[in-house]
Amino acid sequence: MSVNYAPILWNRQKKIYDRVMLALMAAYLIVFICLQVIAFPAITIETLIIRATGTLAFLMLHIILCIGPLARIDKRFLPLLYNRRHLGVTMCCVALIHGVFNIVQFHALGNTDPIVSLFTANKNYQSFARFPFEVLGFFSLIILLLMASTSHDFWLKNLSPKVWKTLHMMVYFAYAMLVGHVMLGVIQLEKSPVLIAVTGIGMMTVIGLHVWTAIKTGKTGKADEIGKTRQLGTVRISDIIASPVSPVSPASPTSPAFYRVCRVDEIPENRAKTVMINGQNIAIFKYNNKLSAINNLCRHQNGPLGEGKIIDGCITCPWHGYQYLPHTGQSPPPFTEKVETYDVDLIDGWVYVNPNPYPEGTERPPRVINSIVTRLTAIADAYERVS
Amino acid sequence: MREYPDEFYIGWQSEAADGIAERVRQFIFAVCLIVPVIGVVVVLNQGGFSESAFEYGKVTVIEGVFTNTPAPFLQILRGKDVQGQAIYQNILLVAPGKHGIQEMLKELETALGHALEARMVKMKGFLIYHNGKTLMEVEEMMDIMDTGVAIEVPPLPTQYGQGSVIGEITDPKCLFGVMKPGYGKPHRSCAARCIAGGIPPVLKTLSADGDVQYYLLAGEQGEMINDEVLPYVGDQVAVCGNIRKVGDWMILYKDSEKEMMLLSDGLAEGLGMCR
Repeated sequence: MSVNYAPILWNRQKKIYDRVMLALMAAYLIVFICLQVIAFPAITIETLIIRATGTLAFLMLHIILCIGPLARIDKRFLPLLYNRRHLGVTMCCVALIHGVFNIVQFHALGNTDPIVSLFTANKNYQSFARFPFEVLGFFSLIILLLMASTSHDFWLKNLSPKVWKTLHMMVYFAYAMLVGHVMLGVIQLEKSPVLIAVTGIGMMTVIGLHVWTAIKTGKTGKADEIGKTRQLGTVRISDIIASPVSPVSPASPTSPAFYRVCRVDEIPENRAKTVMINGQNIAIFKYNNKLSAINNLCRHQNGPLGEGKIIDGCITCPWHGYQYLPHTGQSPPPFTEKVETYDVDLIDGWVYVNPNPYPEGTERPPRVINSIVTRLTAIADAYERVS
Repeated sequence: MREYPDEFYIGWQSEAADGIAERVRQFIFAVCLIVPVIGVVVVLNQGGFSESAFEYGKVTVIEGVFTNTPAPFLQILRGKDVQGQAIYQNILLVAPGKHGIQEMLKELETALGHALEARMVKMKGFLIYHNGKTLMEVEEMMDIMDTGVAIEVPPLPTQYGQGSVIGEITDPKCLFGVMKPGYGKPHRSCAARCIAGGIPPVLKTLSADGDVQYYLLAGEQGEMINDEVLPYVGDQVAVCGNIRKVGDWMILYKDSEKEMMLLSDGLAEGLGMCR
């Protein structure tokens, strides 16, 4: 978190991350270049640079794309996600070297502008096998450059997390084009089944991890959808739309806009239950015998606040550690991030929430958990232990 | 394996929790193994590179008879065979970058006020060579006809055969040394650029025994057909025409009435297209 924009906010873990990344890149380049020179001493320096940087960037992109789903499958991979943008920007720089060398090598010093040549030297756009694969690489590089140049929090803030995230989801389009770039380019020359297999394994790993994550998050139901019935054992949700719950006792919410969410003891201490009601993504936190509800999306990168934890009295986002006070939805001073807050209630041990949001940063008094319910729960726990 | 159920990661804290750090170490260890292995697999499964040479930066000066038909050659007398016939080596001339020698030649001829055809010239440039063929990237050329140098007129092209030849069209400058590889799909655009720039196209053929042969492509009367071959660069094609030998080069004079044919459209048709 930062108050002002700075090029990079270094901390110990970012430094370790970058050192490991650079060491691995150096290891790959040393192995690739040394072996290349030993096995194929006739190779030119230009081809060596083009192939070393091209394969390294493609490998790095695979690792980048695998980190997201890995972190969803197992939260212990979150440190890999934490500084992923450094990995992305570095990968883009490597890809840029590859791209520039290719354009100079194959298109410069001719009778046409190199960029024009890139689009016109091979005009077989109507043919799959003869398709100008360089064009796919060029557009992928443009996307990667766009992403790298907007990766800073300055752009995240100014473009809004939603637009920024949408822009950065284009990495999947870039990846698809790069697979085409490789398969319709160098693989057509080398024709090695091993190289085809390696590319295929990489592609299947990326796709497989994303499918696995989709299935896993679907089954665990990151955010329960209130008013819809979940079928046990499947990820399918029926389309039955229920009405808001009505007040059931004098102590119940006076407004019919409240929705029943779960039993209070289903929410672990300092953790949240997330629900999706009428399009509102809400995280209800339990802490210090109180309940508070805020919007589930972190203002930094739309991280899932409901998967975070209350640390030092603040809701802490699991992605990059951005923090919010649970009763106001505001980051503690001097930080300025704010999220919407919601009214929450507790009746007979059931947690209710009103999905009508208050403006970002509006203070809402936490709902104190009924002491009788707490005592009864404690007694029940004690009885269970004794028996 | 130890379980750490309530661990929570915060990037800006100096230390990660034990279970998280352990899992990240496992991941990095796996990547450390995979990354070099991928490097090794990729390198060792390449097709290899030719032993062709481009002596960039090493200036060579040679003298010989210049001819511009069917391609710009410097013809050098290398000796005589057992029958007393003169043996000529033809050095194909190209300009720096992706250009043929035409502009350079035109400028010199304009300055001299006469054509260079069949005159004794001195060339200064960088040699490109592979598989018995030599090219020169010309930096400077001079007419030395009037300096009293003896000249022996090289023989005219000799008829070698007729029919269809199947191979890949590329540019000889890259193929014989400047680029590795100077053929195939990744090189297609570069070859198109070179041929569009005036470098004579070459047809590289590969026999079933693995023997490679090269044919410079020209029109029926020896004229340039660079624009005509551009759509077929980098592809396997069948070309029909007359084959003649000029020094140590084969020239395929393309039959103007027979279109070039992509081999993907049918091998049999390609082989029989000259009938």
